[in-house]
Amino acid sequence: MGMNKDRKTAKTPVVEFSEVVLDFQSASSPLSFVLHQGEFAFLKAEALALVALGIRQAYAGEIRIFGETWESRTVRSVEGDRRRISYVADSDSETTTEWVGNLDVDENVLLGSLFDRGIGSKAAVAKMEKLAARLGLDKGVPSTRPDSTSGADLVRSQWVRAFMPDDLALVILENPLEGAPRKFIPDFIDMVRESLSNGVAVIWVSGERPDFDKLGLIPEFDF
Amino acid sequence: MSRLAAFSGPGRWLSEMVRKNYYLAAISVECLFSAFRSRSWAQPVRQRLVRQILFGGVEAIPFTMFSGAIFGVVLAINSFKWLEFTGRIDFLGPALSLLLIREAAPFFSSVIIIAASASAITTEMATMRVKGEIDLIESQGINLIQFLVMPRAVGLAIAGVGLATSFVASAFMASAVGIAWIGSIPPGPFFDSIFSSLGLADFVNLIGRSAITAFLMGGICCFEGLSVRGSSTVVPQAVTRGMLRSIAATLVISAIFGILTYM
Repeated sequence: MGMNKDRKTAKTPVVEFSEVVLDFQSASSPLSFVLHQGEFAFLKAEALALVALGIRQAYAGEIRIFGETWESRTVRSVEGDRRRISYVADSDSETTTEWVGNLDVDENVLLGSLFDRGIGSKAAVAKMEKLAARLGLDKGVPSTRPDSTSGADLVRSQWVRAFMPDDLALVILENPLEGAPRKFIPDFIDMVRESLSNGVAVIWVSGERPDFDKLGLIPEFDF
Repeated sequence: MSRLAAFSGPGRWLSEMVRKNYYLAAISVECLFSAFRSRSWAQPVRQRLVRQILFGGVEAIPFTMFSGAIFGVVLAINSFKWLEFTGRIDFLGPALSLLLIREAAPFFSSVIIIAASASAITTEMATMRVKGEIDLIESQGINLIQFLVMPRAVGLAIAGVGLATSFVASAFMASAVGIAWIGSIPPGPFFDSIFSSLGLADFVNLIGRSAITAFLMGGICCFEGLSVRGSSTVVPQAVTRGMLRSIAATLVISAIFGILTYM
């Protein structure tokens, strides 16, 4: 059963956008692309994670994740597949929120993993601490409310959260370097590269195209 | 045509009511089934349950005991005077236990929960919805009923039973003092007459009414809060709806239990 699932994921695209218009105010042309495991795409667009995750409806077009639309899935399968997708929300966006305000930052980071029955809470905490240490959060992910945490710590905590799922298949990075401490950007890029080599598909979304040559990343698809 | 138009307003209202109650029933049933599955109780859910019992129950105990004591004294003195006047003072214990355990305690615990927790839960859920935090939770594959609704509903049910029991305890203590003072009946015989009159129906009413009403209130307030769409200006409207529907649920559950008990 697991093998069938693996085979299916290997062959079927991770994400397919066909003629997608994100919202009615969208000025850019409709988005169409197909992304397989380990592929990296850059999109010059506004925030799209919630549309890709089926939380918000696209104004037009169709989105398929792992070969299916969100509407065609059962509730349990929607939940299971969403756990395999993570994102870094644009901290400048007015349409998306990065944190649940009545939880501490570390509780926010752990939240998804604690609902994943495949991971124990100790293993999730250990993974969080390991990722945090790699990104220079020496004291770990802050145990403070998001409102009273520095912007630099929040950005790195979002990075940690993005790489928390064990069965990660897709990472959507919305303007992920906004407000990030320069010193730790190479560590983050290393984590992106590592995920790509592990077969995770990555979509980088921002209004301005970053200098990927300088960052050492080569997008297969550049829209 | 105009006759039909006259029915369209009430018809829309009725269909909206049916739709809302249908969703509420679905949420409550899902909550109930989830509560009995051990895998539903992930660590964040357990933490939320503990917080809900603390905020909705433990923190409200002093006020509940205060109101129970005042109510107990007033009720005991009134009952004593009337029963003494009618020559049926031997009914004092049964009358007090019936009034306090079956009626007053579940009702007051519901009122205290509505005042202390219903508005807080609706505001919290509605604000989370408006700020996009609900989208963030859903985007992580987390079941909203399991994470947000179930611990609040179950927590309120536990808090409701706890508050009703505290209310009864403080009301009986205070009424014993009141009766000893005005009626010269010592606490021993007074409590004997109360305990000897207690039956299964009293416990079913006390626990059932307070638990079911509080459980439904949790569902109602979460539903009203999560149903909000738009800006933060709609939050107060959701709070009003949540509180009014909670009061309606309290009255309906009381009526159902009353009918079933005395039928």
